[in-house]
Amino acid sequence: MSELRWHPLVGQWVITATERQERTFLPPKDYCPLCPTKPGAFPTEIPEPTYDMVTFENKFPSLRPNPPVPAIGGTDLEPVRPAGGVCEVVCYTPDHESTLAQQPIPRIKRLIQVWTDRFRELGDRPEVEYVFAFENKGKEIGVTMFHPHGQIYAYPFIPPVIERELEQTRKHYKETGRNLLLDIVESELADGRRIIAKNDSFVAYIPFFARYPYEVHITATRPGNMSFAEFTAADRNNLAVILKQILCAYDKLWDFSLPYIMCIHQRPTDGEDYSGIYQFHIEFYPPYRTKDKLKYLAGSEAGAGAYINDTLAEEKSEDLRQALARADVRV
Amino acid sequence: MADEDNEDVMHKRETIMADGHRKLCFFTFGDDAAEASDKSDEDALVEETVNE
Repeated sequence: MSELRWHPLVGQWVITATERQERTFLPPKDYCPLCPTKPGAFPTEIPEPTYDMVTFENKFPSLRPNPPVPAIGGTDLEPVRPAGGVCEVVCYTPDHESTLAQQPIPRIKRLIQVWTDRFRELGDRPEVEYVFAFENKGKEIGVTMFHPHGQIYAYPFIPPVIERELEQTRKHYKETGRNLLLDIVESELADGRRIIAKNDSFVAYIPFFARYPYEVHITATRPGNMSFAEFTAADRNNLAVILKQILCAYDKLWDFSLPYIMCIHQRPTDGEDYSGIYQFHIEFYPPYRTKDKLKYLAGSEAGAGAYINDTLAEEKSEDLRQALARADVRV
Repeated sequence: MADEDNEDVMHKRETIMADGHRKLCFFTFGDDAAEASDKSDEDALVEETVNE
């Protein structure tokens, strides 16, 4: 069963997708569905002996192109909609043991070309209002397959976090005539203490208002870069470089492969004009607050939406800058 | 900084998976992309090359 159920108290859609209970859970390496299919071996999701990069529709999707009619009726108070949309898996590499951080910069650039293709194609679908690319990495985050991969959800609505960002950016534009995300970047650059890396198209920093100890944002600095679709070849190159720098800094922080949630925030694809009010940015949420302690989203965060950060962004930024120096990324 | 103008040609081949309904896209790059565009797959739903 699969449908969208409206939560009237917080004003957002909840996706019900009961088939996902049966999804593949931590398969042994020889039965990884994201590896290529080797001759005579277990047939994976990818029916070729190798590949460069692959995307495919998730076998256990939350949203699907031809959604079933909801199995339950809604009411005016609690309406129900079919769970239309698309859920795709993006396999970064055929190498099961690798990570995105371990990919060379030219390969990360290729991934950006793939993300761009998927943003354009999925965003062109009439029912899709928002294309969200993300990666859940590490068992601490709850991944069900360790093969290096990300996901793309093409939603039939603008998801609540993006909706909230747009409310704030519109308000800021109305009050000041300026782009809030570019103003945040300008403020960070002027202060300097939280900057991790920068180049001609992007700046990476732990924001002043960070909710997680090592929460890094990578924001596009060229006005008008609201999504992958607006990037030039130079922008894609610069994004690959700064992504590599941040991922390697994370892994050098404590010399283990740091889990994270990577969220790519872009303009919606609902046909509205977001010029001047939005900028492409990536947000990372690593769950660790020290080398051996996790930050949990507990009562205040999960129940009241009020985040408590036990650390100072200025100090954690210095940690990451030192880790980046140790990582010695050749750009 | 890496060479800004050196962007690989990308070739996309879109097919249907064994279950008969899900889409699968293979992306190849550089010389492999040129080779892939030369030998087209008649079962592919979509084949296209970008950045040529």
